[in-house]
Amino acid sequence: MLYGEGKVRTVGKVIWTALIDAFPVLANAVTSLRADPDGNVAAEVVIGGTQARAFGIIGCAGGHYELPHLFLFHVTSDGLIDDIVAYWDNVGWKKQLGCLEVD
Amino acid sequence: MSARSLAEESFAHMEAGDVDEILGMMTPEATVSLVPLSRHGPMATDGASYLRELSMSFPDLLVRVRRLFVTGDNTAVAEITIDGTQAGVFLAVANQEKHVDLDQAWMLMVTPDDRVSAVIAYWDQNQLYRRLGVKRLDKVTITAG
Repeated sequence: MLYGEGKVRTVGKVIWTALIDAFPVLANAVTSLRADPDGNVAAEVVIGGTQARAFGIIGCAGGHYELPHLFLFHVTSDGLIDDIVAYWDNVGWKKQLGCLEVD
Repeated sequence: MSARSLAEESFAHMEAGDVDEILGMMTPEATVSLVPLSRHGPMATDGASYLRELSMSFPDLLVRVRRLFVTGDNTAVAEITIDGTQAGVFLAVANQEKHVDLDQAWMLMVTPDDRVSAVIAYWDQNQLYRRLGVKRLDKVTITAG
């Protein structure tokens, strides 16, 4: 499923573009936000939407999902993000969309 | 003990399977949310149950802390990797002696008197199932022979 590591402008952009294409109306609800003085940020976000196109192995059945995520950012002194890590559960995601394969 | 030290010690106890030591670092009402398992409840029961099962199922468990920072509200945020060879049923998945390495993120909320009051953990259960040889989400207890 989704497990990528690399640059935002390559790996990140590809994943997010495909995600928004498959789920054109993607809601992001920030449920917690915390940071340290060195620019490290932890944000819990519930992301959800209704599927409009196939995404990876998840065929489109018009299902809806809502999924908790934990995003860890690092923000530079210039106020730019130079690192993003995200954790979410692909099993919960796939089950909500009717996909039962472990890929 | 600082939030950072508490977190480091918690993960050392996790690796050693010292669940009672971990519980000793908690407030009596400490809560746990194991997000990918949809388990939300008291650390003393739900959290302890998970940690004991983890320890019993992976007797050679290694816990590597890859990143650790403490936020302004005294929450220790850690990225860890757990690593081990399955030796027993784990989360209903039959034992095939598979090797598992799994990235996780944990948040430990620490009180002013240095006790952990809440624990939240995130990981990708799909990655865990893949490592354990599970092929279908509706047949978790049946793994490929």
